[in-house]
Amino acid sequence: MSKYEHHWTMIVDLDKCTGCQACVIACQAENNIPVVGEDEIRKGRGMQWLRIERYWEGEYPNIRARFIPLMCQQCENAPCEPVCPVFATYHSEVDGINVQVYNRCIGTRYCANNCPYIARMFNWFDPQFPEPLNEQLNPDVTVRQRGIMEKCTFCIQRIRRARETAEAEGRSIRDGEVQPACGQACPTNAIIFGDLNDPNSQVSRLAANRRGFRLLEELGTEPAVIYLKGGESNVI
Amino acid sequence: MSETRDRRLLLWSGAVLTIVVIITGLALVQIEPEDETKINQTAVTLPFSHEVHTQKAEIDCLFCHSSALRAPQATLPSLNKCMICHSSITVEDDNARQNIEQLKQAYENGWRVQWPDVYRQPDFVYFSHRAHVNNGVSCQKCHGDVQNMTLVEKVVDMDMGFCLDCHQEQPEADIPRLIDCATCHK
Amino acid sequence: MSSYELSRREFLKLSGLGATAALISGCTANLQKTVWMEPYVTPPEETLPGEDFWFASTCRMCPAGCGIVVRTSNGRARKIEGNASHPLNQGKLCARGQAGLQLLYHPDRLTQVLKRTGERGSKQWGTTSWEQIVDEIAAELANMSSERVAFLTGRLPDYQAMLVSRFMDGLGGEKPIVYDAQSVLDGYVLLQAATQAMFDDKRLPVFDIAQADVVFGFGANFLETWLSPVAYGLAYGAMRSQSGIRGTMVSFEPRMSMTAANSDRWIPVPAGYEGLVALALGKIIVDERLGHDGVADKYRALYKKADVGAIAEQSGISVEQLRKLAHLFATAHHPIAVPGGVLAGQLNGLDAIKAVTALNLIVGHTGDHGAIFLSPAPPSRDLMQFSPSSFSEMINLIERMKAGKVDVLFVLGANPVYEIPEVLGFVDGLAKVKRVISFAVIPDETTAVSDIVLPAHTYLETWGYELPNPGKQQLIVSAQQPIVRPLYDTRDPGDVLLALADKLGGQVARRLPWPNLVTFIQTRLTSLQILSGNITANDAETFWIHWLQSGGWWSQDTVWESPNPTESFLNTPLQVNEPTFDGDAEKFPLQLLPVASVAFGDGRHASLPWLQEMPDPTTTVSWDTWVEINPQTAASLDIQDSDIVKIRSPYGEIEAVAYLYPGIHPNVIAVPVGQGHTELGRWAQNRGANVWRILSPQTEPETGQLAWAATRVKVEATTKRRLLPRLESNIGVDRAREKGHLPG
Repeated sequence: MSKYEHHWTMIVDLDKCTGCQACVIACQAENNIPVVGEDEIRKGRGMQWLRIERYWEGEYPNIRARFIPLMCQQCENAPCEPVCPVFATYHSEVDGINVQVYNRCIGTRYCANNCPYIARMFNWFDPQFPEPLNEQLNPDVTVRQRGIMEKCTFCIQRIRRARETAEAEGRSIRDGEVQPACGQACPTNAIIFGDLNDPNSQVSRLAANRRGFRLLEELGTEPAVIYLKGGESNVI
Repeated sequence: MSETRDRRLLLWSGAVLTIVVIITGLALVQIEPEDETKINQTAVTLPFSHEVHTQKAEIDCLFCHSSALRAPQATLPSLNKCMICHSSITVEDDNARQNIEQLKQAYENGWRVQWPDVYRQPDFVYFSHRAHVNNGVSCQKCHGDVQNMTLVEKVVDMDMGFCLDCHQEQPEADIPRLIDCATCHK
Repeated sequence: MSSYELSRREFLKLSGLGATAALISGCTANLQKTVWMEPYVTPPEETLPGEDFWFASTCRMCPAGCGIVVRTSNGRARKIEGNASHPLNQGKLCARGQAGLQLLYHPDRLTQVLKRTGERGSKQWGTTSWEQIVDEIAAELANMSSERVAFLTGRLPDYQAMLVSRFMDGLGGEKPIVYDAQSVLDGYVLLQAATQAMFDDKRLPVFDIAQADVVFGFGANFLETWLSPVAYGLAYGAMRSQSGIRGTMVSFEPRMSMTAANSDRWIPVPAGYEGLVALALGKIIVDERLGHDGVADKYRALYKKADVGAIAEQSGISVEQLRKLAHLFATAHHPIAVPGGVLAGQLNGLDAIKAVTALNLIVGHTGDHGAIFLSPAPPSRDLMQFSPSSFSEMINLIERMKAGKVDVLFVLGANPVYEIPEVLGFVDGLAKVKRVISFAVIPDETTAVSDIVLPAHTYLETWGYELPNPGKQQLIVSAQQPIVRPLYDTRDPGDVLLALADKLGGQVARRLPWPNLVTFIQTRLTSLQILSGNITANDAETFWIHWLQSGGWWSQDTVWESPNPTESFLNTPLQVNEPTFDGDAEKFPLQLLPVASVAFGDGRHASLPWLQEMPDPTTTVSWDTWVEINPQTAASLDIQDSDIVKIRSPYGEIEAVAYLYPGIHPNVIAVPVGQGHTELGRWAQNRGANVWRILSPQTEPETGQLAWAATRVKVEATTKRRLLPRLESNIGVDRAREKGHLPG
């Protein structure tokens, strides 16, 4: 049991992830993430909070690809937090996640520089949503302006809504009730989300899996995202 | 929703950041910017007295602002709802009677009736009436003595300090959540 | 507290910023501006402002027919998600499905009826009303002999397909021609022809990958684009479930697709040899009597002509490896072999599909869990499923057009000017057609050369139904309903046809007697009411409401119907010819493999910015057209990453940016389809290259289907370079920058 009210945790099963990008677009749709265009992508300034990295293993003809979905790891010891001069990023004592407060951010980009996972995106320009594309924007999420840092929030707006509903119904949040956009879309069920404080939750069971590991574990950042190692079957 | 993204420079002193927050008391369907031209052509405005409705007619706030208990927004009543009473009730005052006539006309012709906002939240704040009203926060706590106002006026500057003052008076167990940035900032 | 932790205060001290006063910018709203609020006159039932409302419907971003739920708030569609109770996709949704909102809210949508005023192709348009245009078209059709009318469609949702089919039937014209580029790339027609030949059934087989323990994929890119990628994605996830046995997957194809990339082993087969490899595997299984005892003996006749040694030589896979693979497959409890996709683009595609499908038979495993089965057939003719036509019908249409035998051409759900080989001369044929009438959501290459453009609703603004094919072990009739009020003065093409039929009267009106789409759809559903499914309703109205609420009707019972091989199939030895390619091998040394794109499918969704910026899974490239070349081949041609190259076929040439791709056979290059649009809105226009243009028009001999992967090409370096917009680092690629020639 951690010190948080909920210890939101994400499990990513790399054996199931196919790299299909459904989560990437789901995230973009849910979180009002702008499209930056070809030139900015060339400069490595894509804004997608969730990206799928592809790694080659071996050489032709004995080659295979590995996919790793990478989002903010919501570190317990988040390197981004102490470097923010204005407390725009901090650790939530309620949800145990790393929160970015956009209207506090002054755009020093220290946090992004200090993030070993390259999980933070910076708005180099004002986002463009030519009308009527703006009609689609999620009213629960701010549209960030030029000069603001942003990143995956574990879909905190969904957590907020679920908490409000649960409270109005006089119960606690059920396992599976909060689903981030990525996990909800994932066709292969590779992304599972839930509360590690609940010993019966799906994430609690999966977190104990022997295939589990965290990214760059040696840095001591203690991410809240647990990956399950991809499988291996030896075929001829 | 609101597309205004004007940027302002705020002065930073120490580690305390003051941000002006205005909370809406009336919000319903906000008119999207592209509709504004249309509004001026076809919409009407009507005077409305909260005092008459709550004091004389003794109508409960939640009768008109019916979703305050159930939804983030409190709702402006539909013209349909106005007509529940006004199809049979009228008044002696000539002025008021004229206004009621206009209301009927608007209802029958499906005109758009528009109201100016008094309290409004910026785009980056998440506020839910449901969460507050269900936890025993009275309407007056934030909106002042609306029941005595002929025309609603802004009596509270709903800045972050105003919210936090109240949040910090809540039971201790709830305070961490109530002062967590992400609870209100989206 | 670990010793690692650094406090904010310490950091500020360290960085010397603690004492610096700074100006902060935040995202504050304009505080002066008054926002006017407007209550409803009569509120819609049960709406709570600021609360979400979810409507169930059916996705139409590809023909699969997944169930969706759309989040709306304050009258706007905000998010599309999978419908958790829908049997096909069980709450899941792919990238394209999510991006449907950008089609609805696309800023370049057609908003009113357009009528050409200038030269054809000049894009000078006048506008007119729906009433007027319906009158006009009806008058024209009334005075015309029906064989001079043609209707060309894509793979439409079943409700539209039925209306189109009845419309043409009523007119007395030819059957509508269904050309769907995505289905061509999937090998739909060939798969159907193969099941017809093998099992005497026209239904598409379903492959139960979920419960298989060994999956052999032959070209079917079922995780990316093939037929029903979300349903197959779900199945793949279950197959990889580590709570039970972890399934093993092997892919045989010339280019490592995303599906192959997720296999435990990708075996690069030279283009067109997939079927031969399957044949060899089958021969070994039968000869060595592998699999269930004695089952293989029944199929001995099929493999009379197969020569394992020869195939090993041709395919470059040793006899020993073939034997090991055959053993792996035949000794599994639930092996399954899946044909489709790239092998269907070859001239030997049909035989190859048969050879692969036969592998499922000889291990004695059909109609079962983890095997190949047929999904239930529709209960009545009211709910017919529609399939694409053979490409030969398309060629026939072009010939008729060229000969001046077509006066009116309707185009709906297809973009033939963009997506068929240029050499066939569709555009020349079109010039001879007196009246071209196109339905479209966003102006495309075909609307640009049309006379009348009828703006269509998006699927989020209209009614409909769909019977997913391939489906599941349940019968599904998926519901489609409007999520938002139509944004513009658009109509559902089905409603336009009903209005036309009403105007025309006579036989057409008898075939389309319904006043509107909703009535038509309601009459389709009557046969379902008495069946046992997810809805119990005593009357049609209740059924209708529940049907919309649930997002469809699906049967209660699950049926795993086994396909039974016909005698004639069992008695004819399988034969797969060596593949042949169009173009002289000397002049055009490489084979061109067009690849369906996970972002755009066949190209129809290149208009959507989310999908444009979505990295391709295996190359991580977005916004551009690249050509995948084996590094060894590239070296021999002196081509490096990001060089712009010319790809020349006997039918034309295109330019693309070289991507050195380690997962491709050295004799093959692959180009994704989807870009190279001259129309289709601001994000798609004038970007990348259209590979359809340079393809050979050859067709598979038996089915007449386009052999879209049987073109030879030559790749030449140019002196130009263009860095690809990609997620993967360009370090090592960007030579100019490393030498300091470019800033940044």
